[in-house]
Amino acid sequence: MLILKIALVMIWIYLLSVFGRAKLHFFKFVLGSVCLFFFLMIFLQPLLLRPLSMAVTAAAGVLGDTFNMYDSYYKYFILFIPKDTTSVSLVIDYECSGIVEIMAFSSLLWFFPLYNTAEKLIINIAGVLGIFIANVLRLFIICLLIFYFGNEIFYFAHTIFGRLIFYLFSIVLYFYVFTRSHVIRQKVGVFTYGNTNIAD
Amino acid sequence: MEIQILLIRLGRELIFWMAWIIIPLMVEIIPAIGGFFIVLNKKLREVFGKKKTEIKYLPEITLIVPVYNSEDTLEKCLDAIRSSNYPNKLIDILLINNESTDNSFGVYTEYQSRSKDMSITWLNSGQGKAKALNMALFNSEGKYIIHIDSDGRLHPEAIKNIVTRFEREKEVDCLTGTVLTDIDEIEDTEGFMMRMIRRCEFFEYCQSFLAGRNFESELDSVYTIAGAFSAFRKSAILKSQMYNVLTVSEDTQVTFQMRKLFDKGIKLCENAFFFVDPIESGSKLYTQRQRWQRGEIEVSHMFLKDSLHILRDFFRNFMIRVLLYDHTFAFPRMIWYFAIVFLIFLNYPMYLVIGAVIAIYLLYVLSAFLFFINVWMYLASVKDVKKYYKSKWYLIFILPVFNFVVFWIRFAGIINSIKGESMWRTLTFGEEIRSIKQVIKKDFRFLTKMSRTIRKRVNNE
Repeated sequence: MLILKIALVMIWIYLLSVFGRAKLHFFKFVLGSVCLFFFLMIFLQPLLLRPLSMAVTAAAGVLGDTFNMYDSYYKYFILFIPKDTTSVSLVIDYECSGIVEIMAFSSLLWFFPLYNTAEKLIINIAGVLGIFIANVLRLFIICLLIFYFGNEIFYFAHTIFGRLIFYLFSIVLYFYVFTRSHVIRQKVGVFTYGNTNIAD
Repeated sequence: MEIQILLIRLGRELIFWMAWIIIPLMVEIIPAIGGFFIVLNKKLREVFGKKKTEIKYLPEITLIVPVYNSEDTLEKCLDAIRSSNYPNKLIDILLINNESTDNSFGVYTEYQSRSKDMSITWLNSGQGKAKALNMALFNSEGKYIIHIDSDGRLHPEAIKNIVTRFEREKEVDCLTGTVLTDIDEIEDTEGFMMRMIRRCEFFEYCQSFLAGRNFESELDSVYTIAGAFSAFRKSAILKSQMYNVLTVSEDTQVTFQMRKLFDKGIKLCENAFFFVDPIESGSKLYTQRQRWQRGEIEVSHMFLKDSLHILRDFFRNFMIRVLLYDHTFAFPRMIWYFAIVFLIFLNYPMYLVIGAVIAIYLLYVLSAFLFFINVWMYLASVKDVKKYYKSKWYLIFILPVFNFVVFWIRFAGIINSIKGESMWRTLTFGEEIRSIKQVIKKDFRFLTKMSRTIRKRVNNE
């Protein structure tokens, strides 16, 4: 199995080099970022999931303590929200940890041909930190809604509202990292017509 | 009790699906529904509003036709102008030769000699469509300047409809015509796949002009006039810096200039039709759409680079929303297309994942259906096109697939515009595959050479 994984990585690196030498930037970007995403999910995700979930739970717990709304049991990845006579426990699993989003963002960034390595490193650190904070805020808002409206709101708060907040943050991040920088740095100049005989 | 449990379960699953479809819903479907009602409202105003009378005075106009190796199409193009219901004596045609190497000039001289009722002038310009258009603008004398491509044909009422609109609406400085692909050419296409691609392209053009630009026009946010058929009030276009030679998207660039100068003066003339040939091949589609995407980024760079703040300008500047949709969303979209496969491995029930994909597909079909109704309402003056359009209703189910393919091509345009050379025509898909093969062959040759050298050394040859 290990040999197969190593072989896959070798083939990936070779194809990246082929696309690089053939100056096929888009092919390199897609193959690079998609495969890096899969590799990160296969190799790194199992290692990072627990510490990240713990960190997210602990950070969300700080907010819960501050506003005196819920408790955090970060060793067990649980946020505990007492509500009247009942209580709700929120378990931070891989979906809530934000690990998939962190890996997706990092994979895209490292093969996005706009930045140099130093820039990518700085943007990656800042981006991961941003995603982490957005995730903590999302959990805080979910807990806030449950705290005020009870268990009935849980599904809506978690599946729709929380996700929406997280998406909105991600879109702002992606806009600044990918779109804005690209538009600003776009080269505009005298272009060539290539070997065309089509006036379109 | 059992029914209650079943309903609760169903409700929860629906919410789960909603979470998956919430982004496509927000960025595509909601604007599509909004656009549908805006266009519907416009049509209702036209039908039930005060009937407009014919204009009494017809001014002299200039018709600019850039020519580049157009010997096969030029005659048809001139014939269409000649059969227009606008008096020929009021049309001054400028053919701007763009370094053609074929017999376009011969076609012109022959046409001119047998069409004494028409004023046709031939001018030579340097390479590039923008240069040709600028030269023509300097030489034009009409009150209105209309620009058409040489490989298409005008509808007989198109010129009059454009002039009527300008005469009636003094605040309008720039009009984009409605460009559609030629239905006879589409149906004459050999090969089922290519014919389907061309039919989808026809639907795409219909929706892009009669739904998309139609509601953009209502909201004063026309992103670009058509490169193949557009018109200007001469007094307005001469105040601009005219066509820009630095970008591959000179039509979008001039639209942005006009908007900067006149703010609300750019509209769609929905009853002025121009028919162009359908896309020649898949390769052409591949290079054309990449160029369009590059053009969008280049023009955004020229006009927006100092005001790209999503939080401040999202509601104020529609271009932020265009960039967000065309550029920003492409990145998460790509990753999630692949990640959806991963979800199955992460214990997500298969039926939920497939259900979410089907739900998203159906939403796209819904948006295509709404646009279908919008377009249908605006094809009244071209009965044969309307009949053809109606008969191809089933394309609303195929269009999401066509758009999916176009998404990938445009995404290639985004990435290739960063490092790729600025070229009018980028590499085709076939050429890209060939260059991959060349690199692999080179590696193979290197390995064979290496192994031969090692073998020689080992065997002391």
